[in-house]
Amino acid sequence: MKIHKIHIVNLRNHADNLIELSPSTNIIHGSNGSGKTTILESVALASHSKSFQPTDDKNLIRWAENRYFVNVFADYDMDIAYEISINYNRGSRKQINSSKGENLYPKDIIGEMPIVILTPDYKAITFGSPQDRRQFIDTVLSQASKYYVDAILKQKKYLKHRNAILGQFAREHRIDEKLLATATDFFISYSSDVIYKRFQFINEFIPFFKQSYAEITDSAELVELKYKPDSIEFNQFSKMEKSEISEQLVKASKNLYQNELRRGTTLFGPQKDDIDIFINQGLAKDAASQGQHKSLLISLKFAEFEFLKTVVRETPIILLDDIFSELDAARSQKVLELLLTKNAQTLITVTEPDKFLNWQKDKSNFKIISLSEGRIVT
Amino acid sequence: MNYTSESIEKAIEIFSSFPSIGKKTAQRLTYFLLRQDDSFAEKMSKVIIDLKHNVRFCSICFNYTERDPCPICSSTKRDRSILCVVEEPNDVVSIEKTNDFYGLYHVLHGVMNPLEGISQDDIKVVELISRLHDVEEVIFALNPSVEGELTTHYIAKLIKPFGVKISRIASGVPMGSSLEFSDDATIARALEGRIAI
Repeated sequence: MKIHKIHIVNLRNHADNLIELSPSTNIIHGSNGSGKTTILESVALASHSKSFQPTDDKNLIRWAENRYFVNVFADYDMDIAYEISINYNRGSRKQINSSKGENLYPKDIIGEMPIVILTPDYKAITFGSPQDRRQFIDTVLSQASKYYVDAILKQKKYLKHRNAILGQFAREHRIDEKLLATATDFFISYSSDVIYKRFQFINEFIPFFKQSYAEITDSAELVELKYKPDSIEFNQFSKMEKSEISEQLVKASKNLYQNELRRGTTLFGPQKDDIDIFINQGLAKDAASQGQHKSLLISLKFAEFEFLKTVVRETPIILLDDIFSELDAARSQKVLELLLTKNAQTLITVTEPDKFLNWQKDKSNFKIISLSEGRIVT
Repeated sequence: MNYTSESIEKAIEIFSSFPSIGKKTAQRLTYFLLRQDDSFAEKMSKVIIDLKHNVRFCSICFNYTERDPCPICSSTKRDRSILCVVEEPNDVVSIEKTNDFYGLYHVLHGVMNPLEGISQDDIKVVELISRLHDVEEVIFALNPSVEGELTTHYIAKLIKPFGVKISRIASGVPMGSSLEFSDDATIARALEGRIAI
């Protein structure tokens, strides 16, 4: 997928900008608050209707305005045109129209324009909480499978309903057993779908991860990923059937029933899953050095790129938000070199373009976009 | 705003409380009304008052009706052994349009939603159970939302002891569309709901 034009209206500090992009590397630079990241956010909005920064849509609207609008013109790898627009008016539902249809829901567009984002905030994936790692799997898998999107949305909804039923019992000591049983049945059914998909995903993802780690570090360090589903016992080396997963969840729900009633909340399920990242047989969370953490994160992201490219059969767009300020010169150069071999469209925000360009001898592939206070300068 | 009148503001407020009508449309409707003859306004107020006075729920199926029981429930041509359970009165209209269903209806007036505290007592579930004595089959035609699914299976559990046949409408690949253009979620769910031929 390659974007050739983005039209941004009233998004953060962009008033009305038409930005033309190069199909290879785009360097977006400007001082702090000039609106660099907003351009990456507009691509994220077009890809899955949400920014990669935790924020409400109403906070994305430019000051004193009532709506934002993003219109992206792109081409699939096969040279077929794809256009999408996101229109958000304060207080109403986001309007999404694309070449695929009008009045779409976010779940309809996810995966259509695959993207891989790397920002310094994603450090949390390798040493943050399980939630950060689940979110990582969810964003990758959601772009790869609509079935997963459907399953995880329903799983989360049933979790809320189930917690509401259990919570009511904890407060009022009143429970509709049949309702709880029905909600539990569905919760387990969709949870099994989610766990099954995550199993499958981790197994397919590991080879990509190992390979990109080796490419980035040129080292013989061994890395490994291990899925740790809550309440499920399994043999890592044998295939797990969906029916086995639901049986184990049913067992867990029976064992935890009294406890759940007392605590008024659900105590099992994929919302408690984790993935362990290993380096040289030690847990990365505890054992990895600062430098290894950075290499792990970058290889997870390159692996995400290769995985999506293989599964979606469309080259993802790569968004790098100010990551070179976090990397030393040698690692930066390595990442950049590797990036150029991917043949993907890349959008990179930098604060110091000169330092960045010095790393690269051939500058003909680069398009430089300069920003100042939400306006394009060059 | 002192450049319009209080009456106009009130009308706009009333119109914008309608579903899917925003402030601008409400304004347009108000100005349209002002341009019409007095007789239009009189006719319209009468229509609204008659609507509220004459239309009530059918005491059997809880669809809207002017005479109780409603024409569907009192028809002698319909199959009284099959009951189709729907969420809202307009769902009855959708199914009637197919001319393919000859049974009776039961309108729940909503679905259960534990998160919002909507329980079986807030919808017409007891009323449904009291109708089951001479019914052989109950077909659930609720929306394929999480809450619709939860309600369908919950009520199915409740009525199982009555020994009626229970089914729900199928979901999957829409008519006129092809497998090629359906996403994997739709196809997978359609496979789960496959039927023997």
